[in-house]
Amino acid sequence: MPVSNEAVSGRTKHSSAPRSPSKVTQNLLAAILFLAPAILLMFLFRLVPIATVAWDSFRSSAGQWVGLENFVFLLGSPSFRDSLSATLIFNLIVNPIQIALAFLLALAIVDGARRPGLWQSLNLMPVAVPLAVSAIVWGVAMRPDSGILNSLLAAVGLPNQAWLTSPEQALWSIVLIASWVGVGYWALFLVAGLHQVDHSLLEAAKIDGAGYLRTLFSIRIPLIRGTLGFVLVADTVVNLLLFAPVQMLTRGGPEGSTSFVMFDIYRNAFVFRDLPLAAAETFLLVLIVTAIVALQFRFMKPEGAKK
Amino acid sequence: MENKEVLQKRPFSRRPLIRLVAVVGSVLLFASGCSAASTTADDGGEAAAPEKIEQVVITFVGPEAAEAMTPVIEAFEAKNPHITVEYESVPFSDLNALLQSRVGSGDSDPDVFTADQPRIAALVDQGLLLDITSEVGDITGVVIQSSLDASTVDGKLYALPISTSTQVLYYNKALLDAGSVEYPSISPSDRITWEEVRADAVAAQSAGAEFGLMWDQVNRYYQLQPLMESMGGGSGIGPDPLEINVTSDSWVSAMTFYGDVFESGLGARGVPPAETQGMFAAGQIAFFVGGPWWMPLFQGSEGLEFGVAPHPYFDGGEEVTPTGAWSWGINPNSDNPEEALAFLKFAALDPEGALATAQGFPLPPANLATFDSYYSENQSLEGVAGLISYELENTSRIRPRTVGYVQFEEFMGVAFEDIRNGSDPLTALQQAEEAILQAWSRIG
Repeated sequence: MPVSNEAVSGRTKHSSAPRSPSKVTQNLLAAILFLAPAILLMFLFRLVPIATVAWDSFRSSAGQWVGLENFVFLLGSPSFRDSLSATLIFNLIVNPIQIALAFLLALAIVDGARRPGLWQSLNLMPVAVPLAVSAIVWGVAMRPDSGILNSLLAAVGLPNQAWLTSPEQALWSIVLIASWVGVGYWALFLVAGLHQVDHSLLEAAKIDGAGYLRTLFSIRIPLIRGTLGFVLVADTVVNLLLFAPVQMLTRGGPEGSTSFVMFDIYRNAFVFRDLPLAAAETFLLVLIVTAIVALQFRFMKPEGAKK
Repeated sequence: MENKEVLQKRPFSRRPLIRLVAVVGSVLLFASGCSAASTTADDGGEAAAPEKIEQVVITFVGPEAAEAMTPVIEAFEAKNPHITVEYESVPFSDLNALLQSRVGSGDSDPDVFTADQPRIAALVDQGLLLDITSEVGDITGVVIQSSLDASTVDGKLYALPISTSTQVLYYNKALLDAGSVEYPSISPSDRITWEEVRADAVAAQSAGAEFGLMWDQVNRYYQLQPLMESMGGGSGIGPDPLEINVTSDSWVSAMTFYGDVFESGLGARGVPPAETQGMFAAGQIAFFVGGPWWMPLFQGSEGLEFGVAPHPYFDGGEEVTPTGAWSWGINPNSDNPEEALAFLKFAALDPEGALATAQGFPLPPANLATFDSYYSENQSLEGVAGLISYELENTSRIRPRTVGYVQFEEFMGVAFEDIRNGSDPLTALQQAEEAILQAWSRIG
């Protein structure tokens, strides 16, 4: 979790004792030494790759400067536009669903469960299964003719569904697969956040006559705003970059309904070996992710924290 | 719990810029993978210390398991004690990316690599295969002609054919019996039509078979090319290597037949190519079109009684079977091209070497002299050898030789899968044609 590290480094320590210049230098040196490995790794594994991708995206396969040619091709390409819209639609669906379910699950664990530890462990089990493995298992379960999901539907008198083989249902099936892992994972953070809410505040609210819902909306949710913000941003990034279930189960189909940008990048880079195009596409995806995350930061900023 | 502490700090209310960079960074973890583009660990040929002064090490990359290569490598080293062959196994899906990044960047390693026959034209176009025409000479009649054609570009030889392939029609005897369906004959002169297979499959399915008809590589061009070819629609490419026509009436008719098999429930949707053989082995399918390399699997499946018949064709159409497999070629940057060529010639052309190659391989050899002994030694193919030979000589059709094959294959696969899932054949084929033309505009 890159964000957690940032959060830790964002901690501020206040000290009232005056410092001598040499002490300040010493502290500065120590700080630099402590930070150096993280900064170095960030430089090597994050900034260098972005620079490389940016560099590659303005070049041809032979390494010649081609200006905006790769971007012009991409933006004029119907398949890229379809990928982009599939990715955005998927995210508009999956993120609210995952966060809402994760929040309800977290509330159920914190407020309702008799043995929260047990429930939390059960809840985390899907996370322990590699996504590639769970994708295969879901693929078998969703088979239209002989899958277990349709058998379950049949048992309660419902008709067979096409799941991953239908252009109308494939995207929702991927939402289901992604959420099976995602909901439990993000609930973990929200459980932690809910536990952090000061009990005396809840008691005070109770004494003032606030009911469960009032306390929830007026006290608990505002107090875990930071946690919710983290979950929102991290979940969005994860889902914008979702790849494994698509590559393994639908390969972008049926009829392009799950052809997310990440899969298109993979196809250009590793199937067609069109690295400049894949680089340009990655660069655009980075810009899109950055823009969406920036917007989310703006909306999640607590009032009064403008400065 | 560390998380609690972290979360309490409201990470997103402060220093948004740094956090933004961190989030963006996580995206770029992918990008680094993209630009590093499968530069796989290079365990090169320099590792082995020379035992003798003249000792030469050649490196070899391919998708087969290391054991599959042991017989030919040992036989070659025994005859050429001054050459050591080091084999590296790479998954098929990574092989092309690896060749592009290693050979394409001018690396001298590997010296020898396996080349997927329909991809040879693209490899040659990118300068990744050494021209061996004059060193090898005329080998017409030594190897299967279709494999030789598949290794030749513009009249020049770039790789030596190692293996070949064909497809047959398997049937489950118990399921056919239940539907009172007569077993199809193994004789090519009594080859049954797709129309007959479909009718028989319907009978078997209504008598209890879970599925009537399935293809092994159910949504791949290799497997389905014969449908269009038999219908008279050609390969879909040509006469120019970057000219496409996959929307003709013949293509649409063939794909309508294919789509109907799944629409009617005769075939299974949602099952990937890697899982179809298991379904036939488990007795779920009445008719199964697949490679002869599944014989050992089916023979070892308890309770499965099966028979083999020739690959079907459309009534009134041409009899066509798919073919093609692997050739081995030499890296143009190789430091040891002579030794590499010696190894290639031994493995592909020398009868003893070719037999050693075939021993470990799951596919039939491309070397004609090896053919008979391969089948006589390979017990599992008893009774089918004649059919395989007939198909390879008379009905086999290689995949189109074009620099744009990779893009063609990818988008045809997408179209086939869509049609299998119920899309309108003409629309799916038109979309594929557009996507292929667009991808081709990036070539050259």
